[in-house]
Amino acid sequence: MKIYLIDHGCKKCGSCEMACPAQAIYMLEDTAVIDQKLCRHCGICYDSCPTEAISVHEDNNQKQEQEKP
Amino acid sequence: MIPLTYKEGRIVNPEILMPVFGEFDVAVCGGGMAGFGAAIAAARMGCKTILVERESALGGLATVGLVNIPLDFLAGIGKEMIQNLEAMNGHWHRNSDPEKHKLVLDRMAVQAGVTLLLVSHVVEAIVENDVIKGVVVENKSGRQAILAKRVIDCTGDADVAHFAGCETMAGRPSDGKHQACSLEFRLGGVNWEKYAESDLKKNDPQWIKLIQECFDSGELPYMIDNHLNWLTHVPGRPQKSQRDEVSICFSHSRNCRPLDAVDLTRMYLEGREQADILSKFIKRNIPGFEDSYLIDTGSLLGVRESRRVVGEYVLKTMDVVRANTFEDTIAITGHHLDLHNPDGPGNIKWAELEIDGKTCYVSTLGKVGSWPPPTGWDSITDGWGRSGDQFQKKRLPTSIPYRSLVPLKIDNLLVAGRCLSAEFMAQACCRLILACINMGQAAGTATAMSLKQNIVPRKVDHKLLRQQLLADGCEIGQTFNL
Ligand SMILES: Cc1cc2nc3c(=O)[nH]c(=O)nc-3n(C[C@H](O)[C@H](O)[C@H](O)COP(=O)(O)OP(=O)(O)OC[C@H]3O[C@@H](n4cnc5c(N)ncnc54)[C@H](O)[C@@H]3O)c2cc1C
Ligand code: SF4
Ligand code: SF4
Repeated sequence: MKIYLIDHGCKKCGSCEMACPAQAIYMLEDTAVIDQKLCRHCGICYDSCPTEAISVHEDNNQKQEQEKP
Repeated sequence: MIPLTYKEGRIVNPEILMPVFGEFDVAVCGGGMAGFGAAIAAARMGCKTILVERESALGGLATVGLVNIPLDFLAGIGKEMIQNLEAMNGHWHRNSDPEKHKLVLDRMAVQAGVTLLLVSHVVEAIVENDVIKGVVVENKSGRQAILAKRVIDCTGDADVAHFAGCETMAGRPSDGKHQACSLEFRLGGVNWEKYAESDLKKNDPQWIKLIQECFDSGELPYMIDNHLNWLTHVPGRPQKSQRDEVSICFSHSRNCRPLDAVDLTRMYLEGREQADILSKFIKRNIPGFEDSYLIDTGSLLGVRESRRVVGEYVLKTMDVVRANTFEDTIAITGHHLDLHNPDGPGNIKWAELEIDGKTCYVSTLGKVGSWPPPTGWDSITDGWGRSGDQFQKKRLPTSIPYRSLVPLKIDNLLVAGRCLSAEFMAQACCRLILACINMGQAAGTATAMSLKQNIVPRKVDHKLLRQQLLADGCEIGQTFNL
């Protein structure tokens, strides 16, 4: 599973917020952030960010946790 | 040839006989994003459609103007366009390749059966008894008439509506000033990986501190702008070979008069001087840009706002900040109040509004933008006048009603795109590329419906129009249960 983080210089354009189907993204005063509890890891925000401010990370721990019944 | 005859200090243009270029069901004037959406929608619904554009390509600001950053809701024709661009490696991360984009627009228009007429300036409207009958164009072949049962004004400047005698608005109500204009430019020879991983991109992504330092040290001769507006990474270039290309929104002309050819000339010259200054500044200071070079500046100046039509409904700034909905919503936008300062650097992201008899400085996002309101950042409120801990960020998109595309007085005419009927600050929220295509698609669809039913466009049934838009994959708020 992939983890998405907004950590490469967000310009607060709101594009990811509009695109996120889980409404997991919200704006702080200086950056947008992803609420990891709501995120469905679909990657749409990654594609929708015009400044490539969103980074993708493999998260193996999380995967194991998620796979528990 | 005309004689030199004066009347009241002006030169007389004698009566001339114009050839008729053709008769159409629909004439779409202006082939920017709105005009593209309108022409495709009308042609696909079986209308004999002509699209008239003064530049040599379609797309307007989004292609010829190098604004290669198609933001807002992906739906309908806009979504199809982006998918076509993706198929030719011309789109990623909401960044497009302007050249491939032109080609996609050409192909989609031709395929839909639209008659294209490029390099043709619309210079007059033909009107009889408050009904528009066509337009006059001027091009290499001379001055000709185009007759049409319906006309859609997508000139960005509401030129046709103005020629037809519709009431229009321009600029900020307090002083008539327009949003700042920008001439975009492209740089090549960029090491994108180096920039993407740089501390500058992570910690000062809009170069705010860097610009201030270089201004203080005299390296930047004047405050062209106090931040980088955006920098896009053009897709489809050789990757990881330090030959990336970027398109940059940074230059700004202030105190603009975008409806005056003399001032437009001033802004093109100023924009090119700024691109020269800024490309050198970037080369010296930005990691990854050490070997960069200027490729070009836009051939179309970035005019954000000029003339807007007065329609059956004028979209209010209050509608934007409160996310008001309408029974005739035909498009939505997720953008916030985004005003490029008319007379100084930076941007302004709040609006002065009367709420319950009090003057409020309203923002949808909070304390953002370059400049605080006159009473300071803490006085920022939301659309209901709440500030401080009570402030609520706006989560829902802005709805754009069909009536904002229907000018008063003149029949068989619609407008779409950045010249819609909206208040100054509301327009600042409704001008993103995909919002313009979506408005265009709605105008084209409504026009085709009005022809089929033989009624004027203002009488088109709102419910039927919305049903048709939904069937065509448009986003009119259904995703948000609006
Ligand atoms: C500098 C800048 C940065 C921007 N940044 C973004 C961004 O990051 N993301 C985003 O989504 N949007 C952005 N926008 C907004 C967006 O680009 C425009 O609002 C949108 O493209 C407007 O589309 P339009 O079709 O309404 O108008 P235009 O693109 O202006 O199209 C109008 C067309 O009509 C033609 N025309 C005009 N008059 C005549 C005439 N008399 N006869 C014949 N043809 C005529 C013009 O040549 C043009 O092709 C930006 C705009 C600017 C200026
Ligand atoms: S990965 Fe998908 S669900 Fe998660 S924040 Fe991004 S868009 Fe939303
Ligand atoms: S799309 Fe990118 S730049 Fe825009 S708000 Fe989201 S993370 Fe920030």
